[in-house]
Amino acid sequence: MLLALSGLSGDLFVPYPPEPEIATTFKIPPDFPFLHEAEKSSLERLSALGFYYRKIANFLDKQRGRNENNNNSESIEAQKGSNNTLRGSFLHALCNAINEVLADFHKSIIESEIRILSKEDNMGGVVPISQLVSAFNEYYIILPHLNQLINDIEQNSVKYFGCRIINLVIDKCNTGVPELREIMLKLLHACHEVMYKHIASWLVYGQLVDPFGEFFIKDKTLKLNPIQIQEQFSRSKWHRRFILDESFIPNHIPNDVAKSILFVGKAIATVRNSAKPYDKHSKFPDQIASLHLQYLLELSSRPVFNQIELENIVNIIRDNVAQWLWQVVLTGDKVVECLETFKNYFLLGQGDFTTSLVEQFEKLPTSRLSSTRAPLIKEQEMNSLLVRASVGTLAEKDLAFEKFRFKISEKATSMFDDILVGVPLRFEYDIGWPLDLFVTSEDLSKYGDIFSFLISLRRTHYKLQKVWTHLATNVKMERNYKFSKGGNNIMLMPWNVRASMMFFVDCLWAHVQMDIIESNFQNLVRRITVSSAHHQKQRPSSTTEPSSPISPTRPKSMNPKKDTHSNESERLRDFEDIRLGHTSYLDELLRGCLLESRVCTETIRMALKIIDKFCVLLERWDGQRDFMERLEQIAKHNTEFREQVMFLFRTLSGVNKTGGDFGGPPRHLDQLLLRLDYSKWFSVWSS
Amino acid sequence: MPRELITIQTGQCGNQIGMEFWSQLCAEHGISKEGILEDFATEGGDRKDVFFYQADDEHYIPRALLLDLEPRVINNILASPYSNLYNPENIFLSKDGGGAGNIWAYGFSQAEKVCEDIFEMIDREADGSDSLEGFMLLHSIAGGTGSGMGSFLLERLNDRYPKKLITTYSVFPNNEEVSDVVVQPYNSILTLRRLTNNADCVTVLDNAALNRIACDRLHIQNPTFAQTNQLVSTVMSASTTTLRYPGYMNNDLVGIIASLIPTPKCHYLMTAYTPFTSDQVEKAKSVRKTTVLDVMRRLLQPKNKMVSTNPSKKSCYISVLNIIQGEADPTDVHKSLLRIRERRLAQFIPWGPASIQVALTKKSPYIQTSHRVSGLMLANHTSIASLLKRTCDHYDRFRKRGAFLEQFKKEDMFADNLEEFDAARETVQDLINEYESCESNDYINYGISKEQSQ
Repeated sequence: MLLALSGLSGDLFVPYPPEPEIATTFKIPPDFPFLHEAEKSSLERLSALGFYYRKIANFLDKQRGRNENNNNSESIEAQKGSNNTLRGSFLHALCNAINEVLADFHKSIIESEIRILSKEDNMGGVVPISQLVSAFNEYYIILPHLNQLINDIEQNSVKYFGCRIINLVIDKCNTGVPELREIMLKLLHACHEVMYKHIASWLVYGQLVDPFGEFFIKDKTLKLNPIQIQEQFSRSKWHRRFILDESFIPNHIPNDVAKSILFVGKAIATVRNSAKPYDKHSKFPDQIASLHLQYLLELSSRPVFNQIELENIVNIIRDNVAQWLWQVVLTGDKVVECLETFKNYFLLGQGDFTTSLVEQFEKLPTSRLSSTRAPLIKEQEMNSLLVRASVGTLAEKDLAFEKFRFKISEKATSMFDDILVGVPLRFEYDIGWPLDLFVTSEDLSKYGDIFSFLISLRRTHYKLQKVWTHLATNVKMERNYKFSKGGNNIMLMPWNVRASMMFFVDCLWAHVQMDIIESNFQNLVRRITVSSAHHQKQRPSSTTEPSSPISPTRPKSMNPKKDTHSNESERLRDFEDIRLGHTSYLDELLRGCLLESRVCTETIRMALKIIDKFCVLLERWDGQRDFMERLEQIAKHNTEFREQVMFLFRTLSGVNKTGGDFGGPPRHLDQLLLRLDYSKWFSVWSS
Repeated sequence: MPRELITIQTGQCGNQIGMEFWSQLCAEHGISKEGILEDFATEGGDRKDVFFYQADDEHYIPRALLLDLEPRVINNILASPYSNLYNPENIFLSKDGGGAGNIWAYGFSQAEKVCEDIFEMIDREADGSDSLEGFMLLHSIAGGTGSGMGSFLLERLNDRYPKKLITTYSVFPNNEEVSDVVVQPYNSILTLRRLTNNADCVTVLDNAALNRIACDRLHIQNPTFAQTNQLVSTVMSASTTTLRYPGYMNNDLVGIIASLIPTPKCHYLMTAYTPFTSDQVEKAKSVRKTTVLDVMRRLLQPKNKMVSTNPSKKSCYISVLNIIQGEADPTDVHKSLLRIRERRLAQFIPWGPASIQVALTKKSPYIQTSHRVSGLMLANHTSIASLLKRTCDHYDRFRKRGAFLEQFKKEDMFADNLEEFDAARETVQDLINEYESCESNDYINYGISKEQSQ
């Protein structure tokens, strides 16, 4: 009997149902004599415990064996290839915890045995079944549940892999049976200890010791060999190397906390891994690191997991790390400087360079720009053009400018990419550490989109200015030849058409540059500067005088200082926040440039194309030849142009009135419409 | 490439304005009176090369030509602390030094005689530029040298540099007062013809209005020319800030002109500036703190305009550009535009779209001013016709009487007949007519109807 309890089958207790079916319990063979039905069922219930024990123990043995195997074997890689996911330190920890429970159980068996053998409770050598039943009473509940647990794990090995085991265990904790809950909490604590180890090594040292990929932060380089890592994840791609796998985040850890954890580790890992020796500060101060470690150890030693405390600690660590980065690696000044560089070149804020660039493009022989002979345009050529354009402008002495280059891409990302040279041409920036802390390549691609739009607009603007000079030169020459006549027979129609086109481009340009870019830019910079000042102020108080590590009053979000309170909502806390702020700034710009609306983009593109045709026509005309024919052509361009602009005007007015699908109140449309329709000319015409 | 501008200052008025202009530019760019960059001028971000070039010895030298037929003003400049600033080769003084005697005809014919010398200087300056954008002529239209020589240069520049922009800052006489230059209506009409036919853009500065501003706004009784010229130099430096501090808007001259001047003939711009402070003119009363809205509203008020006109009910803006200097919040611009439209502070042409364009620019970091923002308005307004009409009225009265014509008849141009006067009068009349027709919807067909009727 006791043997059966220890999970060993014998003559009396045999696995049931018998083989080849999979045994689910022990049964006394039906042909066994001497036993009463009631005795038999009691014994069978007891023996079932034995079966569970055996099964659980087997499972544990299997796990342990595997883990040992893993430790010994050099072929971890090989194992990884196999589809067996029943591995991992979480599981290991869980098993150990279960093992402890089983050990208790085993101890009970042994105690019973001792008692029976020593005939302590002397009842004449008869051991009542009821006594045994009562001795193992609690295990009636526990063992089946444990069995259920490992069954779940075995059957849904993917679903409950790694951190996700915690979810399962938490579920199991939610039971009304106190004994069971206690056991499960023990198991949970074991799991949490592992998680804390992960978190601690990640937060404090930036190391991801996770051979089984169980943690909710993943290193994408794991499956690659070092050369591939070098290629794909150079330092500039650091923000891509580590990712958050949301499916691995235990339910009771908020995503925000997980993101904070990701951020801190990423920052520390990047600093640690970067090959370049930075100044003496480049290593994260040990003092603070050990402090962080201490916080975390204290947390992990608590028997009951406390979500709020974890959140607080993570926030404190995040603030400290962010501050350190902010002061040592990338100060607010550097961020603002970088934003200014982008504004100067991507957003054409630096007028003299922009004009020079457009001029250089206009100098390219037109024959080379026909789309049929597109391959003639070489990237190299475009980049030397870029350098030529910088000569004599403020860009020439700007070091940041050297990181910009043109790239000819296979297919256009934005609708304005091909305007300059007929093939999709993208303007790019080579981002490096530490600026990539807050600029992603998606951001840069958005900048590229805006650049393509702006440079197209500016190019048309430039052409219209050239046409003005051309027309004026013609008029002045004519006047000089007919010096004595002094007549007034200047044909004003082309002038007026040009003026209305110029007006449209002027308005659009001023709107985009001033209402959209400049105001959003100033806003973003203001938020960063506030944040920067805040960090400067915070530093002495929060990093050098650690008070009680787990005090909920420490994190600023819970106890904002009075002077910063007003800025709290606006303030960007660290790079992650700045990155998000920057991304939403870019989205704002895309919206403001109407680039998110296909209809608007197409209309503007058409309008610019028509203007270009008009300009080409006038540039080649001396104002005399084929007079009437040319006037007709101009009139035709004018009609087409007006159609486009009126359509745009009506569309925008419509959207503006209804609130539209631009998301939120489209204030920028108000601004554009005010500029366009300032003298109510458009509304009169379109009605 | 810098888009260089060559400044040509002629006559007494032109050189006086020029002197103020260059001292203002030096101050704004941190260039000493000797032309050497000051130690503190390290901020960068400005384009000195539009108006200056660097000599081998690190001197900044104005791209300026100082021309006069009498030596007084230029000698003053050469005796001033700025004497070493200018390139001595760019100074032209007539050999006899007798001046033009306030006679346009004399100035014109004198210029013709020394044409080669002057164009040698101009060509040298043009050759020294990488991508010359145009010329800026500073002169008065009433005297002899500025008007006569200026007229001659306008014609010749047109021939020689047909593709370069020619802009002028032209000081109009105060025709509300009796002038000591009796023939100023003649000089004015003759110069206006060249300004109309040969210049691309004329910034009108009216001495009557300048005096009024000096008296009313700055509380100076009987302002001197030096004081009113300082107002002019303020306008000049403000109107070129977008060229010297390149931002996202209007960083070349053609960008300003091509937006402000829709049709070729109507190229007379009026200006307004606010606020004036003691920095610009001595003893001026300080102005209270200003907002963008304040500035933009005040720029539209007649009392701040540097031209005295009599606008009619139909008068309207053809185009407006406000250049706002200083720390302006871009969102304020929109609010101000909205308020101004709501209150109907500006009327616009009916035949095409028009609006108040605004350019925000930096302020020189080297000049401390007591106000946060200041603004300059460049406007193409049809009421400029009333100023031209007044000039014509004066001219007509003189011409009817045949007064003071002897001096003119001494020159070849007028020896046989006075056709030149009639042609000039006709040109100005055409200009007035065109400005008036700008106020109606038919202007869009202005050229066509003429063409078809011919």
